[in-house]
Amino acid sequence: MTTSFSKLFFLFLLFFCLQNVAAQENFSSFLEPDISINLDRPNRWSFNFGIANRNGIYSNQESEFDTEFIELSHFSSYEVGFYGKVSLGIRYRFNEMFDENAHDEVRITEQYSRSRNYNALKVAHRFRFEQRLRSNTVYRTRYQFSIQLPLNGERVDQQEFFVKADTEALLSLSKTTKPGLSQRFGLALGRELSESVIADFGTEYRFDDYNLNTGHELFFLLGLTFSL
Amino acid sequence: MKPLLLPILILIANFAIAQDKKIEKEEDIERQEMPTAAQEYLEENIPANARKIRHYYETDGDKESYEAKFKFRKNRYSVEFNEIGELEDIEVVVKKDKLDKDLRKKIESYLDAQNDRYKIEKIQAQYLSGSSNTQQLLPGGKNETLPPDNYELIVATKNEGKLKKYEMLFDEAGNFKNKREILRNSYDYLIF
Repeated sequence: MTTSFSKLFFLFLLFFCLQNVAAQENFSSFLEPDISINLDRPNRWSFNFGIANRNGIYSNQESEFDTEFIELSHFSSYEVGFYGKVSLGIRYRFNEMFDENAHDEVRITEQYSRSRNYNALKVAHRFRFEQRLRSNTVYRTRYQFSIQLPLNGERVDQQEFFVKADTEALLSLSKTTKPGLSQRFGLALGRELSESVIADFGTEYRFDDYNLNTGHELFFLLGLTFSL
Repeated sequence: MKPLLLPILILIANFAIAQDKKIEKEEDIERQEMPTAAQEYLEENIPANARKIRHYYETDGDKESYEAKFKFRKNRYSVEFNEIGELEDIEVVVKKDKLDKDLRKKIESYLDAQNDRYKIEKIQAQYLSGSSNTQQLLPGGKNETLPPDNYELIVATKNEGKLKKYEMLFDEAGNFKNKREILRNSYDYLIF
């Protein structure tokens, strides 16, 4: 028990370190809750449906709470090999509802992911290629590396916590803007509430377009995942 | 919409908790939390320079067991006890290429015949309590002349495209004894 407590403590220390970065220009922070449902078929297919929304809580050196969008998403995945999956995803972002000048966005994602357990540690790689269809289509390639670790014992049981840490590199390309590079770092604490429900709370720090005009963004993520 | 989202999240989570059934659990414990017999056994039999010693409690809702894991001379050991602290078995992780060639061939030909495709993820040599094996194994450590009673394998199989994982038991000569399906980790889907 002592080990899991010290791990938890270390985690919260990191959360606070992240918050200190907030005192700079070009900084904004967001709150993003999402709910998703997973259907794992007895064959090689699995399906994911999600609803999420993003709320600005801090921007231009002042606090402000405003909703940016609501998003619906769907991913269909097919198992390949022993540890891989290919997926096709579609998202719809309702931006216009909250900002007259904004346009809704459709996003199509092609993905390959691979994850494997090494004793207690789970290691995953995720490659994505996205088309963000808005007034000016943006093509984006992404690679994410993530690890997951149970905080008690060697596997996550019901009513137990786990941590997930990840980093993701992104390259955005479009006709009208220069190629933009971004990097994200995430740290989340999750808990298995029951056999089929997981709740997680995480923070993600984003260095947006760091080769052009760096934007600093801090996300607070709340997730609830049901598995049927 | 916006102010509603969070309360809904919490509400649904609470519903989910209320539906709990039989709980499987495996957790870190201190050695003092193990039955006295197990503590005494470990006191006497874990080699002095063993590293990364950890203790676990495990239950499937009915059966309870205790386990100590440690590393000694590059080998990973796992010592398992029943609920009153009696030694059940000792397992030592074996690398695939360190397994006897004929034995490996025999196991692989069985797996070949039974599955479209498969991958051996982990091999453990199992020394059962009651035989004199466990007494020779610890605290001295593993040696090549000491044959295990069984081999326990974690095998990922693909049949008709679907992935399943099993814990399989083969005897010391490589004959299949039994298998048990390992249900996939439910938290798999966080990374989808």
